[in-house]
Amino acid sequence: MMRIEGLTFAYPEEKLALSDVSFEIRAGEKIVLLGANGCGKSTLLKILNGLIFPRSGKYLFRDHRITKRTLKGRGLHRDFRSSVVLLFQRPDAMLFNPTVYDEIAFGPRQLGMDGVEQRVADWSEEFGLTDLLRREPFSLSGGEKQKVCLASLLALEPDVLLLDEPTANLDPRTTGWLVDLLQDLTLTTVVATHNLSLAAELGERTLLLSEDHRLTYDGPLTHLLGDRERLLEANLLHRHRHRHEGLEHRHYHTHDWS
Amino acid sequence: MRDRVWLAVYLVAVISATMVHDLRILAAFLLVAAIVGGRETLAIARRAGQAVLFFHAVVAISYTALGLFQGNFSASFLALLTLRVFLLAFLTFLLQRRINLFRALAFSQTLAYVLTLAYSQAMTFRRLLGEFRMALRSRSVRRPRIADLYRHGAATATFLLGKALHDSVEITQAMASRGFFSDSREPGGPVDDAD
Repeated sequence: MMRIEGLTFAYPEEKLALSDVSFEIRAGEKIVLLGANGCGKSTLLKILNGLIFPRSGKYLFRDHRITKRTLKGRGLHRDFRSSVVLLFQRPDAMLFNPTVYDEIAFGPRQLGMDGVEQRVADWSEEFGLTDLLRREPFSLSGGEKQKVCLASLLALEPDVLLLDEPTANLDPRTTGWLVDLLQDLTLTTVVATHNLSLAAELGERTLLLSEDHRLTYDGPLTHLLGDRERLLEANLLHRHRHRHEGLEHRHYHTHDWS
Repeated sequence: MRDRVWLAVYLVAVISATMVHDLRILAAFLLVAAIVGGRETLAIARRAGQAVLFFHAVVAISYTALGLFQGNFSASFLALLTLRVFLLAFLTFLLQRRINLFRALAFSQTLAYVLTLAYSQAMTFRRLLGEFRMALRSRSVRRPRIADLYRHGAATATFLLGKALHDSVEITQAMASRGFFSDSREPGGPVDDAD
């Protein structure tokens, strides 16, 4: 479904973000994109969403090469934008409509879908947003904004959902809700996170980006979790001192530190 | 030292450009600036043109309309205004490419602080703006309508303004916490926060 071949990306200031990355994603896969902060996870998601384009290498979606030029083609643009959606790390970036209702209806209206009202009603009920439909999105809490963004994206009935650190700004209850939702979704998902403790809940296959921006692991998460050296090298594991009633010791941790 | 000299030349040039009212002298200024720009002249001119185009177009159209309506339109005044605005923008972008502003202002600790704060804020806001634009592009199955663009612009501006206000309070408090303001009666001293 999606194929990345020998992809290298650098920002204009010559800051390398991805180096010679290759992988393939099949329909229905649940991928966890792991890596420490600044290793290129967000950049990779933006490339997969056709927002920025690599300096070298290829990105193919359903055998169509995705470039700035090809995405200008009306047919491919429409198909791609309705098939591959991205939940940004900062929900505020995605919200601009006057009400929650309009926010969820934005995509279906653009696609000219039938029964927009019913779709909005269904998705808002699914996400517990029915009482907020007349509210301005910017007045909502962080968790509610995240839900509105997700409902807005899923109302398009996409095939691929990309999520950039989706739990970074959520409270524990909303994090639990999101994990359940992602497990129930049947579409292809790619979730970027540096939170190892949540990774197992978000997917089975892991892509690991190193701090030198290379893909250093592609395989089952269970194998990766047993590879302490690799996790240490990727800066996903840390150790620090503990004190328990006068006793001091050090051991490794995989818990989140954000 | 070199950066400081360039900064001084820039300041003199900017002040001179605002005091000269002769179109030919201003044109000569621009010619000199273009020669100093060397190979980068075209790129700088394009950047300066983009920077002033919208705002100056609004001013020029309003002036032209009002001038024609009142019967006192002056083409030479409009040309002078246009040239001056473009020259000031050109000089600024030329300076930006020629010097390291941090080195140029290193002689003053206060100016260096102000520049660091302003620069870090500008970088943050540039990144945010890029993110907001990408989010709209990502969500747009077809070209957004003009109403969508207006709404998006308004939402972005509202968010950035709120963030700027919030950050200014946070930064002031952080600086106060680190002992930056020795006298709390000075402007920018510890902030009373109702929250």
